[in-house]
Amino acid sequence: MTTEQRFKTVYVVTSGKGGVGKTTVTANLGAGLALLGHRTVLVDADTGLRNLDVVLGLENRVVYDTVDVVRGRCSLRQALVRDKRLENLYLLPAAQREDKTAISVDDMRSICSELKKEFDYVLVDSPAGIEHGFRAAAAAAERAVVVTTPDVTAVRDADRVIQLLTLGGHPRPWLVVNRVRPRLARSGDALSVEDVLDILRVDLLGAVPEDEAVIVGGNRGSVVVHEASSPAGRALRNIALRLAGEPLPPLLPEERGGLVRSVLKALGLGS
Amino acid sequence: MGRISDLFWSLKRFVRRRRGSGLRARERLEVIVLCDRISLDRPALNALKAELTGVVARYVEVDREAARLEVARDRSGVRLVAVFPVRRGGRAVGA
Repeated sequence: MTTEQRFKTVYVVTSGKGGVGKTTVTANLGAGLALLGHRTVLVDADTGLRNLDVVLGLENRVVYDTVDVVRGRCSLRQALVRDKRLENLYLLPAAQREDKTAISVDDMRSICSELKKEFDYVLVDSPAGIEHGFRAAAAAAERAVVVTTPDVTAVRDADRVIQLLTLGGHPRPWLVVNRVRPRLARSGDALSVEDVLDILRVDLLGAVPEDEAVIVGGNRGSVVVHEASSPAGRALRNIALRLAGEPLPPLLPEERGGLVRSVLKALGLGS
Repeated sequence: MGRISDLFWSLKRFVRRRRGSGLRARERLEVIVLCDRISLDRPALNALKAELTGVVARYVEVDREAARLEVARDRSGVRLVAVFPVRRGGRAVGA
């Protein structure tokens, strides 16, 4: 099996705490992988509180959802919604008017294993929390990506989720630190990416700087990974490349001052 | 070697002391996460640490202030690790 093939699998994207940008990260990684030419499908596992369709600007195209698939009201293929811009990016929407336990662990497993036959990458956007929806999404995935922000509460919840993932067969979850504020980290008034990694002790997939372009994109229903000049877009493209198995180092927001950074670089320690 | 690493640590401590609220966030998180990982509340954690340190100090001369508890996590689960820095001179005489 080649390196590239090894990376092609089912990922769960999860966070523990809500509001850290998990759904935005999932949408951007999906678009990033599709931009690289990989057939990618995003599964919204947040039954009852679906959002991934809105982040992608696809809310008007949703006809069927996961519960329709499970109840046999449509085929899996019929429920898939194609992205507006990328022809190899698809969404499987969550049901909005169903109970959050409507999709069982086995349902989620069989949906994902069906999708895996057709797609290079399956990204499952887990609901926040550590309850049923999270457990179903985690059980269906082969690798886990944990999204956090550099805040005490979000890191605490990420730690809890990492512990549950580790015990549940995901021994090495990948971490995305979202909404990094380089200026605050530089002045010492925020947890740095390094602090977060020291505490959580997992591998860093990437760090995404806070970027107003994400909010503007959210208003329009377009993802920032398409935008060449956006710092968050650049970071997310780097993460997509790493997820696709490219041997690249993570792109870190400039947390250190110019001098320290250039000295570290000269010593071969920085990027 | 020892001197160089001492220098390294005091430099690191100096750099850290200059940090703002980020350092406080980190220190709080370290304790919160430790308690979460072993399902202990703060008073129980402090009692555990004090009792362990007391027992170890009966046999080995340790720096009570610098004793710390850590949690290591790996495939096999969670391990509680207690670290007691030994004072120069090593073993205490008698108990």
